[in-house]
Amino acid sequence: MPFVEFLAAHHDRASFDCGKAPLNRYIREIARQNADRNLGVTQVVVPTLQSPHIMGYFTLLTRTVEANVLPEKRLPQGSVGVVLLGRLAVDARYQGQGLGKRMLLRAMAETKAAAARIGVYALVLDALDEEARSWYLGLDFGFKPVLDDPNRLYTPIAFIRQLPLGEIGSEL
Amino acid sequence: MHVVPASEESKSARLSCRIRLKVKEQAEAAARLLGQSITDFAETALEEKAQHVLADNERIVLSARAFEAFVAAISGEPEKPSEKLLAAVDFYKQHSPIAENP
Repeated sequence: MPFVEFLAAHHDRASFDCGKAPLNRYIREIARQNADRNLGVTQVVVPTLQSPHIMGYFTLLTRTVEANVLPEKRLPQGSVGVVLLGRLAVDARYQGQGLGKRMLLRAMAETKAAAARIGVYALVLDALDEEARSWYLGLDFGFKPVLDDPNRLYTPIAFIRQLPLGEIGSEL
Repeated sequence: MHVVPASEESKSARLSCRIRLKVKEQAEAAARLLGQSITDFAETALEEKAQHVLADNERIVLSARAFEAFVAAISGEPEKPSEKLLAAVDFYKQHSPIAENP
């Protein structure tokens, strides 16, 4: 079974190739910087502990969801804290083996754990393109698009809470 | 020889761009008013603007009706998970130490 680790200096980011340029660029050039600047936590999937080989990665961070209205018209519920699955990618050599699905479940488990203690109420993600969007919707994992923005998907914490996902270890 | 590297914070770089004469004159007048050099003024202004844009990026802004629907969805009774999802969770649990909290 593969393992999950926090992205660190010993991981070989340059060789990662999921077939999508923006997702390659993110892990190669930006993910580490963002982690150093407290702009999001990236976890990588590796075949064995301490291996430099990145099979896949995902990034979690928080956002607030707000309505596009004038400040004086703010609704009683002005903004909602959410977890954003900023990126999720699987190297081309490991695609089609269910790894992405497991990473998504892992992200959902971590979101559920976070939401037990911190005020976040949904897991949100922005699908990179139509292919990614169909993948997420086709999984039937509870993600739905927000109104007016078909590529922005979310699932409520109340939905995730129903799933028997619990303790989070180092294996994926 | 011992070389102390400049910290990221104090490193400087050159930025050159053509801007409208009117904007330049206005900026120079504003900088004089603040007793700043045009360079310092430009740097502060750019920094402020950049921070503003980046802060905006930390918010997910929905249309009013989309936000209402979103709030309703996260507040209401959740849908039941699909068989497909429950099967995937089950499979996942059998193959990893992620187990349900007692």
